[in-house]
Amino acid sequence: MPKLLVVDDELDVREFSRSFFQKRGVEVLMAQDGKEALRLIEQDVFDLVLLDVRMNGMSGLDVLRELRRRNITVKVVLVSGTEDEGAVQEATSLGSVGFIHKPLVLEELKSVVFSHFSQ
Amino acid sequence: MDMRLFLSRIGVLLAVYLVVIGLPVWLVIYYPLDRFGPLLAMAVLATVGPFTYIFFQNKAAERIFKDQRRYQATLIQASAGMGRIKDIRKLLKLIVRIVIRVVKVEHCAIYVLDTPGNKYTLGAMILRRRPVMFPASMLMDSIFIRELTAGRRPLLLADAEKKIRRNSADSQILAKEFSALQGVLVVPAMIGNRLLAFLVLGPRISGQAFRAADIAVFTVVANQAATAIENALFYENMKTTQEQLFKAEKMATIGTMADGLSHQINNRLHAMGFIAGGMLDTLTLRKDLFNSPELKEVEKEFAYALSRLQDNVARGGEIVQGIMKYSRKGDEGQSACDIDRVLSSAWEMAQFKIRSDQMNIVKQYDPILIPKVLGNFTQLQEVFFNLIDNAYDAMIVRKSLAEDPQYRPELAVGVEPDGGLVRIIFSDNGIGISEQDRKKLFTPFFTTKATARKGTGLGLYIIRKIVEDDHSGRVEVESTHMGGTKIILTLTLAKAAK
Repeated sequence: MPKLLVVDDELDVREFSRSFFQKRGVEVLMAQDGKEALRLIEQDVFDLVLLDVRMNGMSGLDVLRELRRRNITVKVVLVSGTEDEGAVQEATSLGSVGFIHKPLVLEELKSVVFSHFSQ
Repeated sequence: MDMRLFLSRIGVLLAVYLVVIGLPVWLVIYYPLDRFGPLLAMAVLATVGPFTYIFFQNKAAERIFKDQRRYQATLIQASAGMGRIKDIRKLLKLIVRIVIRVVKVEHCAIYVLDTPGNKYTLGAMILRRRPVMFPASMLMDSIFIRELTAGRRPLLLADAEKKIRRNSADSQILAKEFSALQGVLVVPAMIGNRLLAFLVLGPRISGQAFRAADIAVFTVVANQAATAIENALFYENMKTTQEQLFKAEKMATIGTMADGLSHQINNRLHAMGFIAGGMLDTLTLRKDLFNSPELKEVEKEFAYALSRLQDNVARGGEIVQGIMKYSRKGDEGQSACDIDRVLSSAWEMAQFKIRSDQMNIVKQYDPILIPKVLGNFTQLQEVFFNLIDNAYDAMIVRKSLAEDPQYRPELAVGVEPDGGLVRIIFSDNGIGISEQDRKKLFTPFFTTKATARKGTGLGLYIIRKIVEDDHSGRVEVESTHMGGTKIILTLTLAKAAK
């Protein structure tokens, strides 16, 4: 069973992502901020992490930097509200595998997530 | 000493002493027996005489100096008034009014230096007698202006006409330019060697010629005016700079606000999209529950509503992106941009929507020979992308309407250097723009695509903002319905890049 971590400070986004992917046979864990995400990633092995860029406290990029510092490799897809080319570049250099823009419909998210599961 | 003053003094002296000496002599002659009367008259008159003389002398001087006094009073008033006025238009009006008040002339005008235009433009005028057509401006390199600047003193039409008799070609032009100004006297207002403004005066209402004293007064007024004009121009310049700074700050604030706002709106939209998507997903997965015709109807209705909700979320997101693209802070610098490279990268951006086999881009230029333009690469890329996107949509509509199997969407891009400018022309063979829509073309949120396809109505608005506000360029549209559209961008040539 593939394991997905959804990191987002929006309760609705977390909840609806979870129910959507659970129905498709994905085990979904949720984190509402960067710190919680780091804790979960250290404890567990995820097939993919969906990481919001702008959150209260640690940003998505901060989480990526921290992961790199701790030498943890995990597939991360960043979810961003703005087309910030600087952030895309930095995220790519920090080892993220994808970048998707809000708002996006669940169907699109599904295809992105499953394409990374199958790789 | 003034000749009139000298003569008046002698006149008064003679008159007073004629009485002082004449009256006792007359008394002695007519009343020879009365010894006391003439003596008394002599004593009284000798005492009163000097005072009378001084009194009449002052009266006469006052009369003679009346004009000068009036000039002085006006000048003092004027210098106090001029320095306070910071609005250049008001100042010029005041200067003309002062001149008219000092010496009664038929008309008076002031021309002031228009720095970027290299000319002097009519700033203010007063007409007292007859309508006069003052020329709107006078070129800086005209012979008249050169003469005025070099001479640094008032010029009389009569003097200029005298010069004509010497018959050099220049003096003929000078007199012609002079009479075009409709004045008989021109007074320069200078700061150092710079001619800042000049006064043009018509003939005196009295018909008399200008006296040396009048011209001297005008010179003083003009010099004071020059200082005041310089101050006012400086103030105006500072005000413009401040306004620009303020605008820039405001834009930065709006940028920051828009950034935060779009983040918030995006998050809401994103969540709403997920909620709608989740519900739709449940409906799809549990189709088996809706087994009666009524339930099936309900399921269909819900599914439709939810898909519409998702669609609206997606469009809302596009609008937020559209606004963000313009207001986003970031690299604001301009450099020499290779038009071909801008076009290629914009075409690449368009690939997510347009497959290259769906339309042709015809480059009507030599990528090596075309000059570079001064601009912000990212912004120009955005402009080109929007133009490609619009052309594509217009051509798709045309294709669907024409039902011509031979029709092939084609966007031609031409580059025409023109002096310090470069025209970039995008011509498509799409549906074109109707007369009625053309007026609203650049209005934000106006779109004709709403019915056929998705459109935010921000594309051309942003194009215009970027080209005209940020690049001081121009956007022109030529279009006929069913005949295709031509968009002409005029940008500045990047000189250093050549």
